[in-house]
Amino acid sequence: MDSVSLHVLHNALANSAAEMALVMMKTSYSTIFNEGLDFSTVLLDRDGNLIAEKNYTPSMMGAIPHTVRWTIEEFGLDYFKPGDIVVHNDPYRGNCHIPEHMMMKPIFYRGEIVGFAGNIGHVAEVGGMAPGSFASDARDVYQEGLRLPPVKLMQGGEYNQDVWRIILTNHRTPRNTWGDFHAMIGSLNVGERRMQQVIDRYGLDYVREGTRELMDYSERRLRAEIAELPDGEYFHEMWVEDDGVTDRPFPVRVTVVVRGDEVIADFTGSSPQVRGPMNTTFVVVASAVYNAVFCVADPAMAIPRNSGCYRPIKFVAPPGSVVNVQHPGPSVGGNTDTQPKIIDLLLAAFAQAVPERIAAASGGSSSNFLFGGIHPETGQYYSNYHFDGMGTGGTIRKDGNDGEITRHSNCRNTPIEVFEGRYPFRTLDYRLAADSGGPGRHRGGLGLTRTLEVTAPEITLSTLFDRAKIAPWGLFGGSPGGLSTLRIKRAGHDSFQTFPEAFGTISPTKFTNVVLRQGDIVTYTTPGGGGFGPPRERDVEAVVDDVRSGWVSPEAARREYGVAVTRRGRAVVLDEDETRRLREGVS
Amino acid sequence: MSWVDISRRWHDTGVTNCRLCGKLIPRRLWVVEVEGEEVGFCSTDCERLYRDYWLPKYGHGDRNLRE
Repeated sequence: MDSVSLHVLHNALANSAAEMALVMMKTSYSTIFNEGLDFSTVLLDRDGNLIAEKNYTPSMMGAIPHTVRWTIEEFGLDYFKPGDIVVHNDPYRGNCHIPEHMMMKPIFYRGEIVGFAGNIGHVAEVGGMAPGSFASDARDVYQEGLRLPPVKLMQGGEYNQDVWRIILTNHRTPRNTWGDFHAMIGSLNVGERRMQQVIDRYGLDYVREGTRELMDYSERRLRAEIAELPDGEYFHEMWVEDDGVTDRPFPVRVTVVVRGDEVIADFTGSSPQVRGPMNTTFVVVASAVYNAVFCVADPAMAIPRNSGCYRPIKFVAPPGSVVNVQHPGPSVGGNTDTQPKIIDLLLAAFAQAVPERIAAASGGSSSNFLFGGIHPETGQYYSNYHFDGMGTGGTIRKDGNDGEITRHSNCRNTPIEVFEGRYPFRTLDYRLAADSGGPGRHRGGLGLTRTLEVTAPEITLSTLFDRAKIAPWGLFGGSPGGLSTLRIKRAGHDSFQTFPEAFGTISPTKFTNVVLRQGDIVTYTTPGGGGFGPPRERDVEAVVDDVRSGWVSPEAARREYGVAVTRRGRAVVLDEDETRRLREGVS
Repeated sequence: MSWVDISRRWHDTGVTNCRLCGKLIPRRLWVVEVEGEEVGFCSTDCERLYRDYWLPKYGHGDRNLRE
């Protein structure tokens, strides 16, 4: 097939996946779908190979081909009938963590299965020990929420009511689940219809041959890019500060092996799986590896993303380790907070081979903020999963990005107007956090500070913020990014306290089910990215601009960058002589 | 060496993992003999990697996978 025809076919399928995503966004009930975009949509062939995607959330993209293929293999193709939709969220069978539900619908054409429409979405509330289903001190999967093996949600186009009733009975906000599940179902229906139309237009043999060629093309392109990397073994290790249950840090180790046109990510030597929910599932670590390899080998995203470009990438993820959790280990934070750090870990290993392509560590935490209760205006139970952006690492070319949702998720923030309209919080402050970007020739991006006042008589709060003790690393002389912080000012009190001081929690940033009262004020800062290169090599004018913008304080400009500035009214003025002395080391 | 169907009762919720990559194997296991022991993989590709990457580096034995 010629390249123009392949391109046309690729775009037809990719736009079908994009339309599936629009359906999800426009018809869902919860803010995590329609504002946060914490979902992804795909089309697959009848063997479960990914042939087109709308990549909102890379972690899901790495997961879904495995998940769908395993489900097909477990049940066989004969299990699927027209109108069926299978749902599952089992972390031991291919899902990222308990809240993320995968749905797949067989696509029939003239009586034969020709492919599947699929999606994964983070369902905001799925039961378990804490509202928002994100228990940072869960000790097993049963505390994290309702776990579903692959089951038919729809059977022949009809509701499988027994399954629906079990699910809706176990979720705290069943109306949201109902709405979001229907958004997912609608998205699958659109994907099914569009793929059938593509086949109507081009013919089944043409589409089969074309998708096969597209996957081979992506594989060839990625192999060619990998072959350009220097062969070798590149080891790196990192420590994650704690698992939410114990106060002990644990290591994750990787050896990245580049051999010709293949990459092996070998996690041998990583910690055994931990007690708390910072474990990752196999598909999460697979997604992290795909993500890092694509960042290094195809940063412009020029290669069509499909199962072909996964073929040159191999893993060693020992079962029972922190990178391949086994039953009944919990894993909800592994997806959101260990995964971004594993991507950074792989990039740090690659930095030995291709330093010019690598960023310093990102903030590495999704800053998960979960709450629920009875809404004073509606009398209804509500619950929400909220996350915030962080800084990304500086690179050889530029500063890191500010306030960006972690690199494994690509999600959006929820606008304050929507947040306040739905939930009983008033936002007092939302801004970039000064001095949170790791100093460097190119500094890390800034984290965010958000301050919220409780406007309901009572809210139950749980959080899972990482990077409160171990900062995101800098690279090649760059300094670490800022840490997470989380504090509270109780109603009637004058000063902020940590949560251990106010409530006796073990961890300052990982806890469940703390009860806030009306008038309490919670403030948090998310981590910044690490810096790249020595801070004293940063362009002086760039530092002055940072001070003018409020992103770097005058004190940090002097201490970290050797740049002296004075304020004259609202103006920031460079002291050139003092700066020269500081940079020459004669302070 | 052969493909072997994993026999599991419907109420058994356990899973089998590939000896090399750690991936879930839902139904069919690629079984080969390595140093007198039967070893199960998810694919022939993983067997190849076990022989030309894992064995030279770590030697045969499950113990290494967990350390």
